[in-house]
Amino acid sequence: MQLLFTRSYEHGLHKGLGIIDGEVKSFPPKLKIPHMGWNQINIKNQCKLLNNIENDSFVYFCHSYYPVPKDSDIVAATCDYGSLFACAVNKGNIYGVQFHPEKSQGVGLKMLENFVKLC
Amino acid sequence: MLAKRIIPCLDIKDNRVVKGVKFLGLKDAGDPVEVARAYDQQQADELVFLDITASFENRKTLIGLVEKIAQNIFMPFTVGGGVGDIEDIRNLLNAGAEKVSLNTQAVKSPVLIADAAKRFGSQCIVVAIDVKREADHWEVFVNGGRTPTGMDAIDWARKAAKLGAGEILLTSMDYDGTKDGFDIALTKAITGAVHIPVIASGGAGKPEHFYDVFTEAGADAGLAASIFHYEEYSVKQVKDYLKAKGVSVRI
Repeated sequence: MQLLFTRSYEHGLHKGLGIIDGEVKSFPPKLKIPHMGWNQINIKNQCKLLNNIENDSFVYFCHSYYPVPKDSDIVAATCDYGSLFACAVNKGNIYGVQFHPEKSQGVGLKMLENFVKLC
Repeated sequence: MLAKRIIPCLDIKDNRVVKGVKFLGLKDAGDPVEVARAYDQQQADELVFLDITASFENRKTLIGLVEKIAQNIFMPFTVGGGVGDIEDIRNLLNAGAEKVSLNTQAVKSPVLIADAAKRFGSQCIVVAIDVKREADHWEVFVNGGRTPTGMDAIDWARKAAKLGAGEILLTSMDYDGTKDGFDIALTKAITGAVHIPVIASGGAGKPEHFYDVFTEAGADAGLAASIFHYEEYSVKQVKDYLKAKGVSVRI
């Protein structure tokens, strides 16, 4: 995500590729950081990456920073940790996820399969 | 909602799972990949592999094993035991471990936590703390629980978190193996002292114990070995119990 977005604040301000307009910032300190473990995704936009993925599916998260896109239309799914954040984005043929599909058992493998089909 | 995690722990010696695992229907009960697969099917949320040989010669074969697990099991797992420096951490992460657990070496050289967190991110650096109750404090032990350090567990947990640890794996040596339940007082003291996730370990004997440590002590995850290895309960049974009691778990 940090690569795709305009800038990130992890260990100082760093520029990303800027393919997606927005920034990547830290969770507020009142929360336990990192956001670690299995959490549910709320699908906002049934993009091809999320084909046949059920709403409220659990996927594995392990991160301290989260993306804030400028354009909310590109948010494919959100997740609730303290507040809602974008955990999957899609803009044209670009897909980004904050969780780890490779560690999310069947649900994650299905997303990877969807992604490979897109390629 | 973020789910509470149930984590079976596997001790690895010479690339084999030790601690009499007896899953039925497995071709080879001692093969870590087969055991991991069985836990995967039981809906374990994560696995922890502790290399209890942890000698230099074993390092390379351990890396090979981690690669094999990562190629076969698509769930998060932590690897620990004898992790000594940045190079070890890099190799284990590159091989496919989600997280690496530091213990003795982090006590000897706390700056390793900071270096590792800066290079790889806090999210993959777990600090394991083995604790025994003394008259007036909780003492941190290293070298597999053999050596007292003179350090207070609450102070050490705070320091580890400040240095950049992303998670604490807290084991009560007093409760370990008793099956009388987790050390609620110790776990509560640690979860109250740090703002990072805490895995409680030591003492799990039945599903109620997980409920207690989640609701009374604020643990984020519960780790257990023998109740799962000896099939007294499956991970699924523990989760079904928790769900019925209103705890958020992934089923």
